[in-house]
Amino acid sequence: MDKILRINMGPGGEPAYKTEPIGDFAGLGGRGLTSAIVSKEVPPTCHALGEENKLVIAPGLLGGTTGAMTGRVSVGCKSPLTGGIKEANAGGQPAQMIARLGYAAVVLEGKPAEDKSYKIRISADGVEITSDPGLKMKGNYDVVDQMKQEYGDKIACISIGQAGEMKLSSATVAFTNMEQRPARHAARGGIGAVMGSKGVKVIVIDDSGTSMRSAKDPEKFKTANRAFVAGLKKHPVTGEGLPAYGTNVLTNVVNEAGGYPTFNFKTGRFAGAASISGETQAEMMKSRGGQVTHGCHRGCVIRCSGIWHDKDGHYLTKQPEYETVWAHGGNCGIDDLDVIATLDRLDDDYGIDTIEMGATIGVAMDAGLAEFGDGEAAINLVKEVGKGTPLGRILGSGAAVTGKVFGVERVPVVKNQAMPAYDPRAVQGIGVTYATSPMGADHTAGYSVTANLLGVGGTVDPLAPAGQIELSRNLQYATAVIDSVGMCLFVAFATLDQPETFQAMIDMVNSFHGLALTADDVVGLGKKVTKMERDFNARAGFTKNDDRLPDYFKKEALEPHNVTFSVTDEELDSVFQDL
Amino acid sequence: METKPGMNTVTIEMPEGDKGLFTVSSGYGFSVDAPAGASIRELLQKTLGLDADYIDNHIQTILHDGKPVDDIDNWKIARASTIALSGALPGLFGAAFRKGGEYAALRPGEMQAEDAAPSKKGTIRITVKLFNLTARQLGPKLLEKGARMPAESFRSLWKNILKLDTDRSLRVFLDGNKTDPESLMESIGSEQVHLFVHLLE
Ligand code: SF4
Repeated sequence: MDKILRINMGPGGEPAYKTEPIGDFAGLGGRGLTSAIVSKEVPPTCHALGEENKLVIAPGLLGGTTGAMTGRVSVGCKSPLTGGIKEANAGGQPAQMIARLGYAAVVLEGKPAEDKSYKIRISADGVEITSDPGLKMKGNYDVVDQMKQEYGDKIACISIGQAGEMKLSSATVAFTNMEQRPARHAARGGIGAVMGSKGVKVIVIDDSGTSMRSAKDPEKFKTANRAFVAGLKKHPVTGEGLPAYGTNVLTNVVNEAGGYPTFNFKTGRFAGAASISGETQAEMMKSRGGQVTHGCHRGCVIRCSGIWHDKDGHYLTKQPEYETVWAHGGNCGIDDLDVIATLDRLDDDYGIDTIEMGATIGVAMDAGLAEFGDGEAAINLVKEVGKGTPLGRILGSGAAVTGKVFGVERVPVVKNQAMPAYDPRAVQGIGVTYATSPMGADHTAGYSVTANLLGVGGTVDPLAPAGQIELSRNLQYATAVIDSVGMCLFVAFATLDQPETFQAMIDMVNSFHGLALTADDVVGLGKKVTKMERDFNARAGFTKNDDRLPDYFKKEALEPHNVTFSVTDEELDSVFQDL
Repeated sequence: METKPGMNTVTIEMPEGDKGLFTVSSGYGFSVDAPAGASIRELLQKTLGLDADYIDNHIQTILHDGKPVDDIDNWKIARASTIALSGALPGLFGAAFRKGGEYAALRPGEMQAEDAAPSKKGTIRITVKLFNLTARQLGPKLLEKGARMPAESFRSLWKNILKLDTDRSLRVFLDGNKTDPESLMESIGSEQVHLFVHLLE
C-alpha cells in the first residue's frame, strides 16, 4: 500500500490514469489520508461538482490484512451537501481488495468532456477505463449484476445509482458486501454526486493473484490480533448486544429515554417504537429465514449486520440499521418494518443516504406532502427521486433544500446535513458533536468513546457543565483515529472498557508497520486530522456561526422531559480551542 | 370495540426454543405491584426476584420514567411509574446512558436528578419494560408466572406476534378456552390482560 492510483476523467477528452508513490502522505490511511489529500489538493472554494474537486477512496492503515475489523473504507471530497470537507465511511469488500492491490488510495480527478458513463476495472494487470452507455440510469443492484456477468463473481464493486448520476446532494457511493450486493454505503454528504460528476458509474475491483498484506513483525501482529478479537468477544456490547440485535437494539431504549426524534423532531417518544425495535426486527428476520448476525465484510467478528427477507422469505435488503429504521420509521411516524425495509432497498438501489432521505420525508410531511405515518406515501416520495421528477430532485437534494422549497421552519440540519437518530436536546453531548463536527450533523463523528483511555485532557468530571464540550472534542479526535486505521467504529466500546484491548489495537498498528506509536501519538493523529478538516472548512468560508444547531432546539422543549438544548454558543466555540 | 373493565387471561403455549415471543413482548411493559418508596435495587430483587450479580453485571442501563438511574440503592420509586431495563448498548448514547455515569455529562442536567418523591405509602403500580438481552433472559420466568399489561399494549403486541408466528405453532387460550389466534384481538374486551406463556417440552 505504498502507491496512489490517480484517475483523471478529463484530460484531452479521454480519461487517463497514473500510479505514483504515496510520498508525503506516507503513514496515513482511511480518513487521515482522504482528508489530507482533499485539504491539500482541492481548492476549498471550488464547486463540489466541478473538475477541481477530487473523490478519494482509501482503505485504512490495516486494510488488506488479516487483522479483525479492518475492512472499512473512507471516501473523501468536498461535499456538495455541506460545502465543506467530507469523509464518509462504509464496510463491504472493496477496501480489503484495493489494499491488497497495493493502493493506499484511488483518486478520481477532473471531469469528462462529454456526458458519458464509465466503468473502471482495477486489477493486478492494471486499469481499464471503458465508456458503457448501457449503464446509464441503472440502479446499483442492476449495475452489480451486469458487472458480475462481465467480470465474474470474484470481484467487488463501488458504484452509484440514479441519484449519483443526477448529482443529487443525498447521493451515496455503494460498496458490495460479501454476497456481492451493493448494500453498504458511504452515505453522507452527497459524495455519490461527486462520483457522478466524474462520469464514473462503477469501479470494479479484482484482486485475483494478490495475497494478504504481511506484517513487519508477523508473530507480534498475530498475537495482538488475537488479543484484540478476544477483547471484542468478551465485551457485552461487541460480544453480545450488537451480534444479537444489531444497532437497532437502540430503538426501544432511546425511545424510552425520550430522545427518539419523532414526527420530524417534534417529540422524543414514538408510540410505535416497539413494533420497529431491534427485538421485533430480529424475531421477524428469524421467522422469515433471514440472517440476524452477519458481517458487512470478511474479518468482522462483531457482525452487527443482518439479512432481511420479505414476507415470502426472499431477500429484500440488508437488515436496516438503527439510523435507517429511525429515519424512515419513527421520524415519519411509520411503525411497519416491511415498509421501512422497502424504503431501505429503494435507497440502496437509487443510491441515497437513508438518514438524509428519512429526514427529508419528515420535512416533506411537515409541509403537507404526505401524512405522518403513511408508509405508502413515503415509498412513493422515494420513487419520485429514482424517477428524477422535479419533486424527486428536490427531495433528493436533502432536508435543507426541501425545507426551503416548501417553507418549513423545522429542518433538523447542521451545515445542511440532516441530523441522525438522537435528539440533541435529550443527549446534549451528541448535540455538541452535531454542531461542531466539520462534517455537519453526524453521530459517528464523536461515536467512539476512548477519550479517557487515550488520556486526552485527563478524566472528565461527568457533572461539570464543561464536560460535554471536553468529551465531544476528545471523542471526535478518537473517532478520527479509528477511521484512519480503517477499523469499524464499533471497536470503541471494547477499547473504552478494556485497556488491554485498546493496547492490542495499538500493537496491531505498530507490529504491522514496524512503528512504536504510543497513546499520545495516536491522539496526535486524531488532532491532526481534525485540524486539517476544520482548516479546509475555514478556507471554504465556514465561520463559528456554522457550528450551531437550528434555533428551535433552544426554544422548543422536547417532551417527555421538557428539555431544550442548553449548551451556549461560547461553549460550542470553545470545543476546538486547542487546535 | 367496547372495552370493559376487569381482566382477560390469555395463555399461550409455545414450542420450547422459540423464545422470540419473550423478546418482543417484554418491551411493551408489564405491570407489577411494589411497595411505595422502595429503592430500584429493592424492586429488582424483591419484586422481580433478580439476583445481585445479574443486577450489577448484566443490566447496564436502567431508566425510571425515561431518566437514567446511576445509584440504584438510593433512587426511590414513590409513585406509579415505568422502569426499563437494558443490556449493553452501543454508541455514544449507550455510553451516556449506562449506569455508573462515566459519560453522564453527555446527558442534559434535567435528566440527572430524581423527581421529588411524593410521600405516598402502600402499594404502587410499576410498569416494567425489559429490553433486548434482559427480555430474552428474564422474560421466560416472568411470563411463566404471568404478567399483566394494558389491553391496548397487548393488541399492538399481538399484531407483531401474528407476523412472527408464520407456521402457526402457538396455541392460544382466552380465559381458559382455546381460541383462534387470528380472532383473539376481537375477543378481548377488558382493559387489562393477564398474559401467561408456557413452553411445551
Ligand atoms: S460491526 Fe457491523 S458495521 Fe462494523 S464491520 Fe462488523 S458488520 Fe460492519
